[in-house]
Amino acid sequence: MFSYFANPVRFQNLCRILVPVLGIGALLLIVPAWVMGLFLVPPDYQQGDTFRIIYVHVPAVIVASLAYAFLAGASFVSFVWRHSLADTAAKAAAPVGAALTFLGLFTGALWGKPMWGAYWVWDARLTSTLIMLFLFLGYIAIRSAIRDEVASTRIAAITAMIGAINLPIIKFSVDWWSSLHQPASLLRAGGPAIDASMSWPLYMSIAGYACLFGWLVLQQMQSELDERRAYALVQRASGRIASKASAQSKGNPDA
Amino acid sequence: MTSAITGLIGREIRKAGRSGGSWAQGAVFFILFTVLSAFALGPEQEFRSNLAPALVWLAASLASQLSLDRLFAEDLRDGTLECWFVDGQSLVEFSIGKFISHWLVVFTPILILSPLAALMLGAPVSILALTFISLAIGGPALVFMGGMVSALTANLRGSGLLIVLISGPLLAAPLIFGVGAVQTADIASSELKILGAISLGAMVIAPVIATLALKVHLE
Repeated sequence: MFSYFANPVRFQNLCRILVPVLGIGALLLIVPAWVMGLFLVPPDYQQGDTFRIIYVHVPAVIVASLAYAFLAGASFVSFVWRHSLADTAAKAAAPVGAALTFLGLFTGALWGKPMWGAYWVWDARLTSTLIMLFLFLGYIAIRSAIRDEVASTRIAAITAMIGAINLPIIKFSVDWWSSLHQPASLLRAGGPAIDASMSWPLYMSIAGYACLFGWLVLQQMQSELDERRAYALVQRASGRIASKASAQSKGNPDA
Repeated sequence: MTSAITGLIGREIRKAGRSGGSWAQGAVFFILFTVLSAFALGPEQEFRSNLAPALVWLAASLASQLSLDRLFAEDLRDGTLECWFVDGQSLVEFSIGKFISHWLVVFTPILILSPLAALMLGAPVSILALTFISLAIGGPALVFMGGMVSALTANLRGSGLLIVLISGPLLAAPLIFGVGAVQTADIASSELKILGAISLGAMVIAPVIATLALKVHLE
């Protein structure tokens, strides 16, 4: 199926259906999930109303991690099979992933202050999320720094793959590091299981964020493909004008 | 080691000798960093001596990234890399030779100065040897990881900051285990073994990735 839609024309036909579906899906999932989560769900017996940020925070981090996996996978396909559509996908996913990671870190800090007493804790999960933000930023930076189209595509793909190898190593080392240096009292393991009335809006909002990610990425990819086509048309048209001009000047030696 | 690699390393060392001392940049930065951090931390001896292993490792890992932006860039620009490639020589060997020579030229002076730097920060004499050993074991990880990133940006001018942005996250793991190893004050600690494993892994992976990147630049 993937190879069928790897054709840009078929892909754009697919996009014409998927983009509105995902966009409306994101709207229909996120808005009710937030209304329920922020106003209707009962407050947590320990955390009170503070826990409501979960409906903004958790989906952002989950979808951001999926976005990095998507970026690394698309980069791998683009590097090995040199498929331009995979590269377009990676290019479109990186800024969205970076924004979601930032949103996750920011809301996490706001949540951390009342709960743990600190905006930032060097916990394994926080640290690897921060590193993920740097990996996204590094990808975007190296991509925009290299002028040559082919080179920037391939170098950026290698960068994304290095990051994919590095993320588990970081996670492992920080686990080791914080277990040595940091008391475990800050983060309770497990905690009370979440009630169904609280979990449903959470699942909805995760699905909604995923739709939002897909919507943004596909739209960006569409406009990228349109831009390429427009560029190709301009090239062809200017080539036609140039050849006509040279033909005229040949036919008319006085001119 | 093949004669091509040893020839390359010899050439790099001769070049460094004629470069008017730019090879010492890393070592100078290393010493300056420790001196300035001593000022920043204040005169309290005990406070400083607790932080000494962390600061020495931090200074060494940053200093080893200096001048990395020129590691491949010059050879790419003046055609050395192309000659090597057209000659049918392996680019993996080229990267290994470059990494080893960066290690010898830039990192070895830092390594030699590291016990002195630790002592200046007030570290107890008992951990000086361990500081040296941990940097000797972790050094290849710092140099090979940074060198791999410098191959990615070889065709860019002024890529220093970009290299640090990409290699920064890679340095987290050696830094954690390097400082941990010194703090255990134990020569047989598992931190030191993991640090060795990270170095060995970097020595295997980095030349391959650098080769992929150099091939892109030669296309």
